[in-house]
Amino acid sequence: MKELCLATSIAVILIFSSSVLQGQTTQTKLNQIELMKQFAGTWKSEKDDTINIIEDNLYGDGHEVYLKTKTKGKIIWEGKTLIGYDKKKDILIESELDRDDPNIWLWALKFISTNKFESMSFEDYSNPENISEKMTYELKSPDVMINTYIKNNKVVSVDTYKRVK
Amino acid sequence: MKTIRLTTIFAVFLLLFTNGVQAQTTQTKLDQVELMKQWIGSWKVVSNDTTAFYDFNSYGTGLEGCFRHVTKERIIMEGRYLHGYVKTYDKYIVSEIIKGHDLPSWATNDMTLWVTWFTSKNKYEWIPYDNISNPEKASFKYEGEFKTPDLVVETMFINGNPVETDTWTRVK
Repeated sequence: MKELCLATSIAVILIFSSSVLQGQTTQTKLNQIELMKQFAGTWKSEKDDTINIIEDNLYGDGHEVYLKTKTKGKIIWEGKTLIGYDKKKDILIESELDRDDPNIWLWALKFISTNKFESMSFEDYSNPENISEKMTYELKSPDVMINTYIKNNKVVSVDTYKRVK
Repeated sequence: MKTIRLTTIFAVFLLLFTNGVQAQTTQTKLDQVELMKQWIGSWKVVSNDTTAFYDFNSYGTGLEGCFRHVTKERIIMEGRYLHGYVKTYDKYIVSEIIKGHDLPSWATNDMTLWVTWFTSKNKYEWIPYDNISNPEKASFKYEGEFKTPDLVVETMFINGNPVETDTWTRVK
């Protein structure tokens, strides 16, 4: 009887442990495409006399984004980006074309939690030891996003975006 | 007198030779940004029962645009792209996102990256981004030629073998 109880207890513990492990494994895999959809919409940040605007439009499973910076009512910078998923790397790739810059920029975006993603140079993502700077975007609420710029592990700037629509 | 004449001839020869070499060097360097502008406008490609429409607009010194593939009057696929220059490689990177309900087997909803560059004033190549550092090793590529400003002939190669040739016609 005692042996039967012991065997049963061990079996229950094993079953419970397996379920917990499986649960942890399932929770680890973040759906990059679905999580990025939370950021669709129009966002605005204001600091001193500078306004940053992000217009993020869904395009299939991807995004078409228009960005601009205004100072004293005048557009001083604008750019367009496309965001799409890369299945092999399980990341999002963002390509950026600025109106006044001949170069195209590629960024690797990766959600590290359900409401926060990191953005870094696409080339650096393939060589993590080279990552010296990155941006993080975190949804504090469905209508508030915090954008942090980090260089050499130090926070350089923080911008708070509020959803316009 | 003889020495002066010989020296003069030698100096003239050097001058001519240097100019010749410089001219050759200048001609070799293609202005990718200027050549890429040949694409600006609207184009049409007909293949079997599918017509593809492509629009290229300038955005700064890059290009932005959209395309749609129409089969039996139904849009089966559409997409957006950005073309931008990369100085390190002296080539253009193209990023593309697609959407559609009945995507062909070769198409994907993923972001697709390509590399394109002109090899002469009217000829270009197009390869997957993964081959950017070793373009000669690309197993898949397109080679195209502007036959006229309004007509492009493009051939797809797989492992060096031509697979399909398409004709791009400028609509406007």
